[in-house]
Amino acid sequence: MTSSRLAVPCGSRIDRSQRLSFEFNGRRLIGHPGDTLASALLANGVQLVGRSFKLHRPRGIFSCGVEEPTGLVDLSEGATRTPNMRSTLVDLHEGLVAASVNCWPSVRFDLGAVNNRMAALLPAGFYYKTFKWPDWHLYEPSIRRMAGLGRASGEPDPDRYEEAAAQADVLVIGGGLAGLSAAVAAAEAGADTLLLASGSALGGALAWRDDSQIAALIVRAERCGVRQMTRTLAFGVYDHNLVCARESRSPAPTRIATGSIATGSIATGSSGGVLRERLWKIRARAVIAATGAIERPMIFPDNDRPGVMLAGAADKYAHAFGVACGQRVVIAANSDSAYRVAASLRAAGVNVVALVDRRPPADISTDAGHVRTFVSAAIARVGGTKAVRNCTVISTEMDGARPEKLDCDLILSAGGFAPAVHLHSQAGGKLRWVEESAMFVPDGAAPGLLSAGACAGIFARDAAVNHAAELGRAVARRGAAPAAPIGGAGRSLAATHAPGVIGKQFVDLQNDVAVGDIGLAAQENYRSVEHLKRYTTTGMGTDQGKTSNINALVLMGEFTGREPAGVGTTKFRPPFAPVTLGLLAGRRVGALYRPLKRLPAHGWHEARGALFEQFGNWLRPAAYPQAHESLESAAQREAGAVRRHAGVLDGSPLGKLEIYGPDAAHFLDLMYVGTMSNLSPGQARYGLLLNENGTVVDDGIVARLGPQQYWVNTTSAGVERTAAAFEEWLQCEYTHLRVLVTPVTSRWGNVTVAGPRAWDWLASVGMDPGLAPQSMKHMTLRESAWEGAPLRVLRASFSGELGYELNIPADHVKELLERLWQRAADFQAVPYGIEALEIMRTEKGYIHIGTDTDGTTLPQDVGFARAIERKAANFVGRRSLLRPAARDPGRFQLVGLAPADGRTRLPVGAQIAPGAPPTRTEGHVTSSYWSPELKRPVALGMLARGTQRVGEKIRIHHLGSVIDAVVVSSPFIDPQGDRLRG
Amino acid sequence: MPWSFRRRSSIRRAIVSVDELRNAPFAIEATGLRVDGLDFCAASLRYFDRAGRFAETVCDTIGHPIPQPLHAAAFDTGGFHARGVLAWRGPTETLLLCTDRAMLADLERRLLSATDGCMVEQTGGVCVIRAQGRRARDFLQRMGATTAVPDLSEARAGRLAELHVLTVCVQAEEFLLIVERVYAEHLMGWMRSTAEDFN
Repeated sequence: MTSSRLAVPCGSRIDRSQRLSFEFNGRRLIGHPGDTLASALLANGVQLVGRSFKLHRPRGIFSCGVEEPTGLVDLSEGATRTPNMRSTLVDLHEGLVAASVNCWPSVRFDLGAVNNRMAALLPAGFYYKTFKWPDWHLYEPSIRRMAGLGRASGEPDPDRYEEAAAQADVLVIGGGLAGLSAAVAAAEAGADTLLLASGSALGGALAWRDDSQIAALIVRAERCGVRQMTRTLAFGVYDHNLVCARESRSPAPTRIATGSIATGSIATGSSGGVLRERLWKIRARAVIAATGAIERPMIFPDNDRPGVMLAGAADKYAHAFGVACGQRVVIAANSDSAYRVAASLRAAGVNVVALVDRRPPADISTDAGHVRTFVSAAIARVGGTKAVRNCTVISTEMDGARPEKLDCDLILSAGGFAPAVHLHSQAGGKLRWVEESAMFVPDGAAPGLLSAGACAGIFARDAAVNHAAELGRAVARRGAAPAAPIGGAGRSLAATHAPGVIGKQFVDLQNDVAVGDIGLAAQENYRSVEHLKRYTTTGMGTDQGKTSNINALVLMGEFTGREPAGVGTTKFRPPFAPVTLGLLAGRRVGALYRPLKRLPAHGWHEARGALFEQFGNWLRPAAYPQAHESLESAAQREAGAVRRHAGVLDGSPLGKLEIYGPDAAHFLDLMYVGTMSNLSPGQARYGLLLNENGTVVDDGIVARLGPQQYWVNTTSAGVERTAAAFEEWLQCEYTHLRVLVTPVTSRWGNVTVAGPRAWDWLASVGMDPGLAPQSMKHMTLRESAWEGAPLRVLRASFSGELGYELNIPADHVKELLERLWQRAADFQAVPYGIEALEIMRTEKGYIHIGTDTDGTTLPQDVGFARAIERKAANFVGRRSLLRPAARDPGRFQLVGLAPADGRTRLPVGAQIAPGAPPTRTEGHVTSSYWSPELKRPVALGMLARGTQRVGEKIRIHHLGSVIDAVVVSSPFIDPQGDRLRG
Repeated sequence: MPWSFRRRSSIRRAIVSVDELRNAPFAIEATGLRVDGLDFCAASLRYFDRAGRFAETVCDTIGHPIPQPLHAAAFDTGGFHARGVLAWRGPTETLLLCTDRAMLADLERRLLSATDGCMVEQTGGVCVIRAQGRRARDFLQRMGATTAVPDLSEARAGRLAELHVLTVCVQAEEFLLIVERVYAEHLMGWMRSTAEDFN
């Protein structure tokens, strides 16, 4: 055991008086409240945590924060199992269960490690060059099994996730010194200020120190009303300053039965889980990012071994968590920060063996005190496989100098800092390279977002505090932002690798990208940093290269003879850190997956045994199957009953619009292929609605209610888009027309009664005798009343039978249905669903928009050529109907189809072609049903020159089979329309 | 049958589970929050000109002018439940909510002579859900965008629970959520789910 717990006063964050029991890889371990999983593992001497992605090399904990590339674990078990969690961010709690990722059968003995033996055969991009012969699909299953790191649970997640919104004048991201300073200044200047901190306490990287300045700022922040949200990580900046953040809930979720808040029974969401995370969508007038910086690692052979970690992380583990990550420490340095860490660790009682500084003496502005220091030196070798045993130091300047082997069990890496410019870049900000400190910093402000503190490249404490405060005041008062006093990071070399040494020097620890891989990419002429990323996979994965990107692009520059500024960075895209799919889904799961419209009498249909299906966002009865009846047979029975007797359909989803205004008639003439202005009050007419391309987009019946008032029915699924299209034409094109379009679909239910005995049935429940077929003609509308409720009764039929569409206020639909049901037996009437309606309308040859039509269908294709010719007035889409393509005689046209054998149902979607595929299609089947009336299949289809080919034999191809069919005219029944006239 | 003849949704079973929502009585109570459904008559007042005859008639009848854009107002109908609300819904539309059906009928009758607009009854077509209490705003903010939550005397159309909802505030710490009836179950289900975690 090389890592262990340090004595007090180290461990300011943990509560040693309490013990927490947790499990890692089946081993029971003990930690303390305040520990992260990473600190608790280190305190228990666990250094080997997982295996790398490609080569399955042993990996340990590398950092202390969000940048962690290797210390990944699968958290929890069963349904709550969450893969690839960074152990550095997981707060320890009693009973926590974690397991290593990407290893089998165990992390210590991993069979996948054979990949490491074959590493020479697996350079960057090897998969682009191999697995081609004889067929990629031969290898694909194995590769897919090997891919990935952790394993997600296959069970539904019982926990809950919430989406919430917030707004503020000023949003400050980062609860460190700079963030606090900016937030306090903004709030004291009168701005409504919101402060996000990713940690559980304010203070940022200094939260574990006893820092009086931070303590004072926290007090001031509370006094001046800064709204604070801890454990909330801003992961994305989107358009118009929308900032998305993930709030992690309680570190120790207690899984209790929920429902203590809401009264009444809670039928949804009572999963027994907990609210695990909350997605905040925050809009602010100004955003200040104070997200700090990420330490840059040094590159040397075998720098991925467990026991190699970032220097700042080891310092924090020592002081905040009371963990000595090793007993004999060597620090590989490229920054003055290494000297501060050396002193800090020594103060904590850790033995710092040596400091190996890559820089020449002139670049070093501090000294290591009593620590042995190598300058212009690098680590050339690391001894040990699953842990560090020793390292070998060489001089980078003196040829022939003797390498020196140092016994150590921990190698710390202090390569300088990379400001966390992710949010600045996401917001559209530019970056510039600062040669002295080898880092990219924001080049001015991003639109709507300003940077403060280390993420702005300001590392001098006083300068950062003052600048952040000025920034806070400036944005609160809408003033000009002060210039950033970039500096204070000291001198660092851009190159951090050890030249001329043997062994794999890793750049990206998560994806096993080594210096040689970058060199190979350059050798193969990949020059763009974006191409480098895709070819080598550096910067991909769960950490998105937070510790590797700068080193990779510096190396790319070296290999291609360019400065880092010339290489540039890859695009920083959200999310900054991984987010769970649950967080993005929020409450949109299960019953709340998507909003569905419900019928006003939904319960009535349920009681009648309706089988509900989704039709155009409506939940509607497809049929009402009786015992042992399938959907198909139920639909057949219902259609047959309607044809012989009567049936009732809940047509409430039918789109309904009221059109009002002195120009309503003219407007509807413009909108529809049919002419609506010559309708008298009470008359109705079918119409096709086109878009400006002439394509059929909707249909329905238009009835005139009064001189300047119309009732418009649209398809059930098309009412919103039709209403929107009407509004668009009125607001953008026909602005001179005085027309009001009011959707009333929810207000009016629709009960459709059809069948030869429809009127008798209606009369039996007390309908106005004036509605009888003798006095009310087909395609007329009457305003009436029933039991005190207003009625708008339309004589129309989509079934081909005598039909009444009774539009009644939604509140009365159930009552009307119930009354009809009470008398149904007298007329052998049935409730029927959409499936039966589809059968009947296909028998009648009526089109169903979206089923028989598509984005290419013109009105003449579905039998409306004469209507177009007859109409003298203009209408939307008319001009497009004059295009040569629209007048092509070879266009697909709607026809009836019948199987040659009289038995085989033609599959919907099957293609019509004379020869065997592959060949040019002549059309396809659009609707197909077994007709209970004709006792044979009936179908509709779109066929090239279809109307000229009635009687012709055709061949229909479907999944390798061929069905012979005949083109027939439709309708299949009652071509004269005697039935529907009653 | 050898094959399926219609495309069916692969998520059908999940959708049917929406049915679970409907049987729960709709009332939510938590510290600082009460949510319940209200029984209002509703009508869309549609007009070409907010200063025209139609608007004048509305004002004369109910004693309150059509509100300014993005605003809402309560008015006294004089009935037993002497409360009504006018909520701006768009440049040519104001939604009228009231508990007095006779007043609505009277208004409709008077507006017949005003041809520069029309009244379209929406009773039963919209559902009104009330959220009240000192934490009501917080509750609504957990259901959607902040822009959907109005300040006092405002009416804001926005997205709540993935739905288009008109939210009206005519009394401090009280919000009326106006949603199409067909989506009410979804909204109530979302509210119940949110309330479970509202502590």
